[in-house]
Amino acid sequence: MISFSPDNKHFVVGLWDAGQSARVIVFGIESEPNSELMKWTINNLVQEIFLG
Amino acid sequence: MDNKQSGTRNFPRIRLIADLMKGVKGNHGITGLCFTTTGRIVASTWTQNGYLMEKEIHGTAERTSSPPGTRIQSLAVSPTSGVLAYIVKNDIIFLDKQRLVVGRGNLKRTAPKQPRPQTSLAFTPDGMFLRVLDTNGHLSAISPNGK
Repeated sequence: MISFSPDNKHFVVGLWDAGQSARVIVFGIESEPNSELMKWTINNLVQEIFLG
Repeated sequence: MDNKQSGTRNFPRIRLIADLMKGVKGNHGITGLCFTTTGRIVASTWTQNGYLMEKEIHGTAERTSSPPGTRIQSLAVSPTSGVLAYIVKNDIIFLDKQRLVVGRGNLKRTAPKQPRPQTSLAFTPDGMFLRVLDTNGHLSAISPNGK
């Protein structure tokens, strides 16, 4: 799952990984925030990082 | 973990800040994840004794607790009051900013009776109601004061 900070400058990814320790990883957004398109691309990027 | 940037022009630049659960053993999957109104991160895990983690984004100022009950299923934070809600079994428990219990609600489930981690919580933008989507596809609303 994924959650964005109130200022849209960070987001956090939580992993459900059965049999292993839980992971909670924080990322910073260096591009200009406040874009729905950016949220969409970040979600896809996260998919690429963890599931790709 | 190395920072990863895509060559695709549409992808934004992101960088790794912290791996907050690194080294914490015995915690199964993340069942709830949310930013607080002050920018902290709260997460819950699917453990027998319940585990609620709250940290700054850089991993400092850790505040953890083991709420009574078993297996936290989901959590949400009110964008207005900062109240934190989480599910344990068939109960929704509300904690204030000091993380003291300030209210309780009940999930009126039909089937399946076995608690499932897929139940989702989200406060409305005005913080007036907590929306609950259970595993049967039922969407309901509960007031943060437990009524």
